[in-house]
Amino acid sequence: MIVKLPSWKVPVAILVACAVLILCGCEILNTLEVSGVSLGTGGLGRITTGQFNAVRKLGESFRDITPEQEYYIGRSVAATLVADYRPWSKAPAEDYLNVLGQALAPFSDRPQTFGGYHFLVLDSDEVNAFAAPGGLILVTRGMLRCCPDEDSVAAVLAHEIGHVQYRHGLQAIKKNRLSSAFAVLGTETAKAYGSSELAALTSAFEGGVQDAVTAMTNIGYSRAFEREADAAAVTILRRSGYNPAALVTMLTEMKRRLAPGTAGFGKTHPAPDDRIEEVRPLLQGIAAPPGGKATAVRRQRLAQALQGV
Amino acid sequence: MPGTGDVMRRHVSLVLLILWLSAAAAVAGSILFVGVKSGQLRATPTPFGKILATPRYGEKVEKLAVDGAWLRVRYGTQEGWIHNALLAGRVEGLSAGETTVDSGASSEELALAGKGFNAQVEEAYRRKNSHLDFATVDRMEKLVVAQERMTRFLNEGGVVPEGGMP
Repeated sequence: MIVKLPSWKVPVAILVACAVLILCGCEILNTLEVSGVSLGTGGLGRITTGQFNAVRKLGESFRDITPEQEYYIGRSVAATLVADYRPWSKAPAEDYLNVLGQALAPFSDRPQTFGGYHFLVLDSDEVNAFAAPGGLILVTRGMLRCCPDEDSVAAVLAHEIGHVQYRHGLQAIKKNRLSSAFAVLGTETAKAYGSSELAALTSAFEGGVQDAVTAMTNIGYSRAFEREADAAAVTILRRSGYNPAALVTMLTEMKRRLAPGTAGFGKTHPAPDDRIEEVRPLLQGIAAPPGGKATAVRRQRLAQALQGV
Repeated sequence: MPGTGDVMRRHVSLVLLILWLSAAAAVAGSILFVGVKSGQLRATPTPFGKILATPRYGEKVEKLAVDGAWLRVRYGTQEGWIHNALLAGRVEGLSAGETTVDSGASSEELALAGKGFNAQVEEAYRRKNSHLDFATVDRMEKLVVAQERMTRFLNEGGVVPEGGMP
């Protein structure tokens, strides 16, 4: 039906329509602006007042560390550990860990991280494994030698994935590192940080990396963190089709090999007995996967992968 | 000749129509951003679902539905599933217990894109700590296994995921 409007009412109608669209449009734009700044230019653009206020509230906890920042922290943590322990890059073992480890990660509650999950063997007889924030996971030759079967290797990797999932490494970072870092944010609108801002951030970063490395290599994680990682491991193993009881196998094996008080795993982890005790209830009602022909395949490929380890 | 009342009604109808369309546009599918360097859009909400596309950090997806830890989204012209862990910030609509454990910063997360601990900070840190082994870390990051290879590995080893593969 054709509507013939008196001429003066047409502009009014258009004005009203525009006003409505602008109001609704602004709402949409505002939301998008808060959550999406100049990506693809390195993101160092101006932030709005709203963002600045929001950012000021942050810096309270590890939860405020974005995946991208976690990635950078993790890189430096890994670079520190690898400099200390040295990599063992013999192809079969490294390749095997990555195929197995990257196949397990999708079954965790954190199937992907900013930079993804990657695995490396460390050239050390110490029985140990480290999960740097963001997914860089390091396993010593000593640890691999403790693994009687593929399911046990899967258990070790799943446990480390659990640490990444729960961001335990980040939780080791002292709060004051974060608040000093976040205090710098929002003040700089230039393409790159000025030298004093950069110095402050680098110092906070350095401290944060050190906190994480110390927790992993010296103090160790709390029983609560180990419990969480063990529970995550059981979940990942179950979902993927590996035998969750392999976690108990590993813990039993470690108990057998570890002299109390020695460096490495024993120093930084709760006693295997305690952990076994806490893991067993989680295994209730989970049937072990069937054996059969494939067991031989797993045994053979593990032997091949661990040649010379 | 139409009366003033008719014209008024048409004005109101026009305005109401515009209001309704705007409201519909604002509500339809919230926009979310990919929070990982390289993500996977899958045909099914399963760990090894067929990969339809690989959304990159900062790209947008439109939320269509939620199923457990997974979101059905529109990515460009495609529709598929993406795990909530790949998306930046908190995702609304997920039932308690389905979000990635401590899934990361709030919706201001992307406001911090490239800020804080970034490449520039790493560079400055490396200059102060030249003994660190970033070469090996860089090499580690290149170790990426294709999905096909992983599924074959599990299959050959008789490892059968819950619910089957994918």
